[in-house]
Amino acid sequence: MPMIVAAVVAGLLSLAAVVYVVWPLLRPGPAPVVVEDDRLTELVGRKDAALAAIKDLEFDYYTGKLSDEDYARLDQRLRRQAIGLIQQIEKLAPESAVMDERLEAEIARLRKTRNGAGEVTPQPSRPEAVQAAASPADVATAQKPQQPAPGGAETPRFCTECGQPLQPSYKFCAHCGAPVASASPTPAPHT
Amino acid sequence: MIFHIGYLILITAAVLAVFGMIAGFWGGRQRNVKLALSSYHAVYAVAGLVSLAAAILWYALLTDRFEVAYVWNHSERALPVFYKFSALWGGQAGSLLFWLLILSGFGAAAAFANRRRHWALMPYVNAVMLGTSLFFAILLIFAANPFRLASFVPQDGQGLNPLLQNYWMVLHPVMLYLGYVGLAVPFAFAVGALLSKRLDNEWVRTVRRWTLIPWMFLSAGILMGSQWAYMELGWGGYWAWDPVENASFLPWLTATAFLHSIVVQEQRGILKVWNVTLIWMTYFLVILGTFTTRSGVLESVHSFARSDVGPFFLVFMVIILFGFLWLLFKRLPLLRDEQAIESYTSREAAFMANNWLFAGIAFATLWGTFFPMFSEILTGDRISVAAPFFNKVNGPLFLLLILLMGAAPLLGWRRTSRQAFRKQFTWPTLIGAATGVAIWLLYDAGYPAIGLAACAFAAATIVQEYVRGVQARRITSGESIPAAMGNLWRRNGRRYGGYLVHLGIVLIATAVIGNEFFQQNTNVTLANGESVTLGRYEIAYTGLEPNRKVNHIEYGARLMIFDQKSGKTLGSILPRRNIYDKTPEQPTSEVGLRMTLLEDVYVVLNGWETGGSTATFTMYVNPLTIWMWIGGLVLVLGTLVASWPHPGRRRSEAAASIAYAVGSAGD
Repeated sequence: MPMIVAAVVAGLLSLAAVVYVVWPLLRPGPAPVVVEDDRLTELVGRKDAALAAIKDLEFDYYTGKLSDEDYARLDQRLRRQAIGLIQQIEKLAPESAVMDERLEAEIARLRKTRNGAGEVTPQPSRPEAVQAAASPADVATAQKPQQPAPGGAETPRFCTECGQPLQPSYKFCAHCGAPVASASPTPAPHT
Repeated sequence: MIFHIGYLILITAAVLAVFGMIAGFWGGRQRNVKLALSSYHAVYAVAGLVSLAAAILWYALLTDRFEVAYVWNHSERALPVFYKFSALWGGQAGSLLFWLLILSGFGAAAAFANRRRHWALMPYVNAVMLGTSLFFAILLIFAANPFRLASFVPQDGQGLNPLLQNYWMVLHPVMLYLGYVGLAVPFAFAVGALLSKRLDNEWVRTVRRWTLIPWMFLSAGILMGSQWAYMELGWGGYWAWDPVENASFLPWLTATAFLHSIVVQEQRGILKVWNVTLIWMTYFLVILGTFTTRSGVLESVHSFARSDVGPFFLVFMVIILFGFLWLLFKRLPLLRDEQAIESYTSREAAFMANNWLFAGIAFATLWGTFFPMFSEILTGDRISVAAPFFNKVNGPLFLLLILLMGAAPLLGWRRTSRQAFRKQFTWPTLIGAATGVAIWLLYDAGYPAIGLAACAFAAATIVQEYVRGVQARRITSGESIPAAMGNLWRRNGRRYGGYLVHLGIVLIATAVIGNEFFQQNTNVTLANGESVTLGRYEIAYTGLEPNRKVNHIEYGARLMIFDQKSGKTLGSILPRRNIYDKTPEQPTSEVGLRMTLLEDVYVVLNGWETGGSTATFTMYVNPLTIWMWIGGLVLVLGTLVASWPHPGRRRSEAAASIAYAVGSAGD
């Protein structure tokens, strides 16, 4: 008798667990698919990394780990890299927004919270150094997607790896050989 | 009856783990939200069922249900409640259940923390965590059922192993498990990144904190184990390079290397293959360590055949080994380094050297640990390598590591100019050299002089980094010194918390050097009232004090400690032997200890005659040992500073999620 009770209790617990696990599959309607732009995620990640690197470099400079020339050179390079990335994000963002209206809503929501929070530069205590690179990023994501960024029309694209300028026709960077990533057939921002 | 329920829900957990794995892998591949959500639910459900099973075993232990074989074998009526609670991880089946409990808990925590993020990665992460859970559930169901019933109801249990009846032994395994098991999470993310082809910095950045926290627990667990060995085993030391210790140390080494090399990937886009390999090695070493300590394979190859769980582990390890290598090989083209190392005097070059050293130490330790097994298989003779092998090989490697630990933070990324080099290295080098010369002149000892010089150099670089960091903040934002210091931790915790961890390691290294080279000891039999001189102490025996406790008798030998020169009384200590009622043939030792910042007086009671008229002791003076435990605290504190979330990071995570849109993902 106690064995039967045990089996029933265990069976009920197991049933509850199984129902909980398969529940998401039982919902009516076709399975929604995650729309996530891999390229865009990667670019945003890279942009963040570049901004963090600029910040780090500055700190290294202030703590005496870099000579003036090295700092100037590397800082230039990182900034070019960041700007290049930001321009690519601008280019990609409108397309990915068209893919799903929800994305736009999501961006709008985030934009609101981000603007509301007001704190967008990574290290507000030393804004003058980071601002130059950080602000276009915020402009980029906060802008209407269709609008090209300031400077985006004249400035050529840059390699995301080494920051060297790229001709519109390039598929690989002439300087470092890195593939020129573009998720869209759009050749250049000013077209 | 309730124990049958425990067993049955473990089976349900295993079935749901299989289902969740399929849902995770398939849902990740199809980017199907329903399947992905189902994998999340499976993670939560498995965690819930396993918690329930653990609660049932705890209930059995706390209410003395000796009809459960596990309770019968590992508890007794007279056992204090505290130890009844900890008996859950005192034996094979229970500790495997505890493993699974922590693992499923980590899985649920990782899933919950990332429920709205990393949608490409998370289904795979859930699947890998469930896969590991499945393995342990299978062990519990088929090889080590903690709910197995005895054929009769015994009157009393056989008691917990006396060596485990110690506070450190209650905490130490919990810490170790939290560290050990937690390292499955970064591995799951690595596999998720490989499977989803999302091999940019996303997984590396997410995984940093999920590695740091288990790493902290693992470090604390290892140190607590040392503390237990020091206090309980009574051989005067804290680390013997025995296989069980090495099993916990090996993944620590590779996890430490991983924590450093992911910084390089994040900053410079290099070492991608190395990073996934390192975290895989860490995970493999965790499973290997669990296997070696569970199967008895290292005491003798023959005990492996007798162990129930051995074959299961072997199959699982083969799956991990080949599964991962296959996956890595398939993804190799996507793991191309984005840049090259530009100069040998750069921080990334120093990080590379650090990784080689850690890998070298790990390899030497692995080799030494398994050498007896190989020699037995190949020649039939069991040849053990003992502590001197490990000390000779690993000692110099650790010395280099400490030097590098001092030097690396002073180098810039990419390259360091000569001028900056001079500016950074002058003071620390001078301080290190001065310390070395001073030790050499004072004690005429070469090796400790070199070792302590390296420690002083590393400590000096850390102080210099803090001073310069505070100065830099004062220049750029004009803060006061305490505010600048606080902001270094708050805004740049990764770096300045890391330095604290380094400082902890330097303190631990100092304690090791002190013990290794300056320990004094003596073996002595004293009659009541007699005394002996050791170092700068005079130690007198004043009689035996028996003391009845609930499940054992404590015999303590009172010793008075005097300053040898002035004759001043410094205090008294009571080294003890505990004789347990259930296992009188297995007495445990409690050392008598007088700790000071400079050195410990450490006495073991070996035995006594005729009610304590004479007693035999082993006495040690252990220099600087307390710094090992202080260093451990500093290390934990530093890890907390380094893993504390700070404002900037939250922003970047919000930015990353711009790229998502989930079609009616619901919750």
